[in-house]
Amino acid sequence: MTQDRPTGTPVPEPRPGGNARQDDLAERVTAALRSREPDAAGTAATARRIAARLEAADGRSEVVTPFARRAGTIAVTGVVVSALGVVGAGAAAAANPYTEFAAAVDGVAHAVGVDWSSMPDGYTREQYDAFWGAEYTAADLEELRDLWNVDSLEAKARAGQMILDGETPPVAPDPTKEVPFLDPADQEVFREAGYTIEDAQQLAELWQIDIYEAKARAADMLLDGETPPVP
Amino acid sequence: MTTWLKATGPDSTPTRWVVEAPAPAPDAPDADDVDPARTLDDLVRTHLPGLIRYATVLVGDQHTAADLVQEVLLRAHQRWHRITLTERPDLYLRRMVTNEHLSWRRRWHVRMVRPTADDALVGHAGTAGDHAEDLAQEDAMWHRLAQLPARQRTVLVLRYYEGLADAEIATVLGTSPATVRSHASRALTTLRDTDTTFTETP
Repeated sequence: MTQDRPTGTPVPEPRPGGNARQDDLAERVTAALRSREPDAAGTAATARRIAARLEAADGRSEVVTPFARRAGTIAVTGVVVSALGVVGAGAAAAANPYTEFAAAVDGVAHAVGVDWSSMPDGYTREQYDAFWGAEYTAADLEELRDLWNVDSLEAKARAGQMILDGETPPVAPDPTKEVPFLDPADQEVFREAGYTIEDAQQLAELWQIDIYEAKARAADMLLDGETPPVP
Repeated sequence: MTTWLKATGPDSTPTRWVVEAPAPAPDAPDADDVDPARTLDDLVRTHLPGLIRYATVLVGDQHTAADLVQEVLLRAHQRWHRITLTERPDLYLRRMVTNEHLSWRRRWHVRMVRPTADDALVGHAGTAGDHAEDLAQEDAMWHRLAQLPARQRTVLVLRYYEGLADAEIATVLGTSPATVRSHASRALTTLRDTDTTFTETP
């Protein structure tokens, strides 16, 4: 078992009213779930990659673009041809696993080891890299989701494909924009009730709050069976 | 903090529950004074690996899980330091990931929990068992888990993989412990009814 699991341990405990048959089923469920647990190396590599993105969003380093990563990959590939270089690159990445350099090392490993065909149909690695590589933020993604009335995956896929096709998505990347926080469940309640981004803007003006808080408040009202006062 | 979490009150009436950040110690810095860089490092080192493992087991695919985790953390970008000050940031983060996963499942209809390739299963053999029969049984169970309704499956992942108590699962799902037990009971009944290895004993 991995040592840094922050929550409980994945071992089924006897439940009140349980019996041997239930415990056996619980153990088998646990074993099946654990069989899909990513290994430590894969988890660490994924964590480094995500951390690099978070660092970039935090303004702590250069934004890691696919182009920068490719350049880094080429440079690191030049190093790793020697055994000494492999040790040196690995040691440097291990010393600070959340640097762009570490992301580049990670990119080398993943350039040969990742099968992105496992991504959902209609969403490709190229679209993913094109979208995030264009320095879009989560706030921009939220705007695209609202504009197209689609979920975030489809928004990223569509915008990424537009970039790959040389087109310009209707929302420009704005790294300075504050990243919103809106519970996806609230977002979905708001959207599935038929309300639009224009409605959210009107509610925000009516209530004198920001648009994301307006959506959350409107979702609250909808869940309570009330109707948001869209003019 | 003013983040709203769905909860169910004692009278089963849907209510809203405000998660209050724990009172800071006398010498603790104010939330707005916390060094964002240190906060990010803490979050990454303390919570990110566990969050990735949870998301992977939840969605059944490591790359989709990574995308999901990245997206929710980017969305919460401005609130990292506040999240780390909540009483249980681990549950808060799992709630975000779970909501996003359930939202994706509803809206992205082609998304399925994907079976893992045989070579990957062999790679897990060291932790899951050394026998081909064990692997086959785990694979069969995994596919039956994948057929469960999303929230039932999520409850089982949180209970049997994450090892959370029902009250903690209720916090993650924004529901009541009774509803959690109901989801778990239905899921286990379905698994038992579709399990050909079980034989009824008089």
